[in-house]
Amino acid sequence: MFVRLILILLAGIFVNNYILSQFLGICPFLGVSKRVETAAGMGIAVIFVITLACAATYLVYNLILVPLGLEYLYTIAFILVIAALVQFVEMFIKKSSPALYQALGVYLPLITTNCAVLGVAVSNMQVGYNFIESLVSGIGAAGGFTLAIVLFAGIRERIEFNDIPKAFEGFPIALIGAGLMSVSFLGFSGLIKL
Amino acid sequence: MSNNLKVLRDGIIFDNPILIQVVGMCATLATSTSIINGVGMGLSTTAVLVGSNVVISLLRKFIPDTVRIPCFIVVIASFVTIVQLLLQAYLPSLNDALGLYIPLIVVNCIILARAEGFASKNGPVASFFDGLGNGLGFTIVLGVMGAIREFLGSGTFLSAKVLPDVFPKTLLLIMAPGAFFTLGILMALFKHVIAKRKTAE
Amino acid sequence: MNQISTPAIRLCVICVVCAFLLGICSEVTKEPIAAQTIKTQQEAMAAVLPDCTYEDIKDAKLSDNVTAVAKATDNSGNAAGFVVSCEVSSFGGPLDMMVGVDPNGTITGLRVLSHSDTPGLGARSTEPEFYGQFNGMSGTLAVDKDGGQVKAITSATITSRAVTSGANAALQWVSENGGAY
Repeated sequence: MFVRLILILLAGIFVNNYILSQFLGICPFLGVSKRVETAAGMGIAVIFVITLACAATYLVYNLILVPLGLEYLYTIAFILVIAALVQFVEMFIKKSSPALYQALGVYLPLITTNCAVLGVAVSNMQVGYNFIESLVSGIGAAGGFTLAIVLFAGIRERIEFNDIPKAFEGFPIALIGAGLMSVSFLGFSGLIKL
Repeated sequence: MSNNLKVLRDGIIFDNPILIQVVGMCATLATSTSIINGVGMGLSTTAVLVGSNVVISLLRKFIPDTVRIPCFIVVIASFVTIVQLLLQAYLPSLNDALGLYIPLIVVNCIILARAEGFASKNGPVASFFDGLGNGLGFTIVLGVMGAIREFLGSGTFLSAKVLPDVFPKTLLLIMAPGAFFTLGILMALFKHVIAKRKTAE
Repeated sequence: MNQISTPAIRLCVICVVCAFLLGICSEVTKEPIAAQTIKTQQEAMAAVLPDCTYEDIKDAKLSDNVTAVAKATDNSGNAAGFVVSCEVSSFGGPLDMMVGVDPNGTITGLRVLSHSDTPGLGARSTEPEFYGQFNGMSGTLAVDKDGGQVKAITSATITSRAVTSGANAALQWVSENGGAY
């Protein structure tokens, strides 16, 4: 049991990295990866929200939608739960810890449309993880996101000072860089069997 | 009417959602492994985009400003669920191929961006064309990427074998990194062509 | 008061209307979806054990790898064997497959239904060249690298082993439980 949880966690971070092999959360990955500090801030906010969202969507699905036979409403229910959760987290942090709010504030609203959040929730439901497994897989996915975005921001900070062909400036070279990172993460595939 | 055509053309070329606005990347990268998958995803997204654009434009007076985002999301999610149910019922193989990425159309930034940026300010007819243009622009890029990756990666075109076995297949292209490379190069190419046209004018 | 209640009421109206429309849509598509699921399943079963009618064994004793079993009856009403659905863990994650086994414990057909292995390598387990070789095999199987009779896919030994272990699970199920049905 414990080993399985560790495996789910590691699989989320390295093997099935949500950004580099599942392509979830690409928008913030490209959008807020210009500097390492902002990338790390986004990463922490995402870990926070994804973990809470996994718990909340698991409860909504299994305690409300399944008993009522309304499984087909899951897309609407999940996205509303996530949107409400993000709002709530934002208000809560603002009240309880202004310093943290200063650090995370700008990223929080953006997370609603981070497809990694909905993606992890839907994929947990489809795989049929139990509550604890859902939470762990959420933390793993978010950890993988944070790892990828922080590493990527490090690369982009360097790229900025290089002389690259005009047509490749901006997003194209960032995508090529992401591709090379994805190649290296391919090395992890097949390492973990669930 | 010519105004609507301009809206349509802008969506496809000058405001291309993927190459210029750089939104909706997740679906682009994940589902462009073959032409059929790419175009299937593109058309599903177009259906949702046109539907949500028209409905949101019709409801724009009714939707209160303070809760507009939740309202948009509910409308979008409804259309996504409808598309998902229809695919399950009538095109199950496409539904299996696109899998998780169908529910994720909800968070495709293109749709919310068009709802917020266009449909909530314009009439239903213009919104219809805006949705159609952006959707088609999205579909075309997905189709082109799908064609490149399918041809070089598996040696096929629309699942028909075109490259004889003696040619080495670039497997990397249908795996995850290939998506990043293909899109990066395509984007650079597009930028180059647009820049050239501008200097020519 | 009005500033809070009006938006809230309107949001609720939109939610209710949307949920209602979706309910209708779900009712309309329910039957085609169920029909599609049965059709896909029947087609897969017909591929591994042709010309039969299939009936799910609801109380079948399942193991880690065997997820479902259906009993096949041929057109003249004789027992034709079993269709065993297996899930094994392969290189890239779970791999679903279906194996047809006749009453003598010989494989009549094998198909990989879904997998998440590398395209062009492990994914070749869905090609007839690989799965066709299982027809007529019986006993306990192993890939050639492990001294067995199954010819593994080049550079996809893990996938080949996974499929072979699924075939073994199916054969074992039939030899242990086949007589009971």
